[in-house]
Amino acid sequence: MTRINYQFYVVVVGCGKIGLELATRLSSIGFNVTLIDKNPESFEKLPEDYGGFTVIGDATEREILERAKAGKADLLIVTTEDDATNYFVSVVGAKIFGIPNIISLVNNRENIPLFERTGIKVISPVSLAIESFEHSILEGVEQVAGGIK
Amino acid sequence: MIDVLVVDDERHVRTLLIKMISNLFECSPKEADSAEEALKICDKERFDLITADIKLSGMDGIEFIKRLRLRGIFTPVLIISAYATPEDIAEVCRYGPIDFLAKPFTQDELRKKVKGLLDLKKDTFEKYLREAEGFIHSNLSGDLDKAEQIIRIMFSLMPSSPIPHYLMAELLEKRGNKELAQRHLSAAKALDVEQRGYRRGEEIDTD
Repeated sequence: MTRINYQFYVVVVGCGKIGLELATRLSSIGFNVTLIDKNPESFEKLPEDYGGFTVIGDATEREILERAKAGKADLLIVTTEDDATNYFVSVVGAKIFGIPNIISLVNNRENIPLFERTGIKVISPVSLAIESFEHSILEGVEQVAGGIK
Repeated sequence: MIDVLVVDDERHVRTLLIKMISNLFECSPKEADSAEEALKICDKERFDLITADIKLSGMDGIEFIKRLRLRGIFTPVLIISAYATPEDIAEVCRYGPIDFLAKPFTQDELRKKVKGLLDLKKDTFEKYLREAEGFIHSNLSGDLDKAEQIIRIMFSLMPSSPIPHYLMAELLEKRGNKELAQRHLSAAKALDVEQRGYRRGEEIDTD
């Protein structure tokens, strides 16, 4: 496994299914991770071997991002269920805290252009699912076509 | 190679600190999830550095440091806390050597703070060495007792250094306790791999 030796600082906003799993994986690879969520109970689901920080609070409040030392982050990952929150936090991260790399979850596919216009990298579950389906179907077709040849 | 003890009741932070410190200083830190457990460990082992949270369940970090100093353990402590108040800082600064680092922190911030404390420890040790030597060679009554106190602090600062043993041997020699002096001299020579002694003005190894 790649070892990054904790020199990269990553702030992950949202400790839902995606944020929690991603933060855990990043910490085990060797990223220095801070996980922010406004609901303290969401941290209870973190596995024991998660090595990183947690900050309780609303990431749309500037003070919370300051407490998480967002200004020192090399990467901001935003994973809440609400696109408006994701967009706002991403923009604040870029413009106010100057975070060089931002990746946001976009729940509603129609919002993707808005994020991309601002220079935010997006992950859209629906788009990813469609692409995976397409890929899987085409692979099957290629195999059938290959068999016919 | 340094010996580090990490005291934090938050498991996730403890895990991260241990990973970062072992990565930065090539060592295997020990861990404790409470001040009570940490004190028990400190009664048996000596460390070059201790990291401690202020807000610990049970005995808090400030009380932990006070009790550590009362036991004659002057190991530098890096306080790692999200919520250190100015009052906390003012109170705990009397129990130096101490430094603060706010959670969360980057690896670089941690490296600088740890290095700062280790350098400070080395400087303090050198200062004590000069003071102890002065007291051993002065002929005023009571100065040998003062030297002994300083040497004891030196033992707790650098447990694996031969220098406090050399000083103790010299002090005991002056007091006429030849047998115990000889024992300290043997201990010093056993620790002093390169047989450098201590008064040649050479660099003191922190390790």
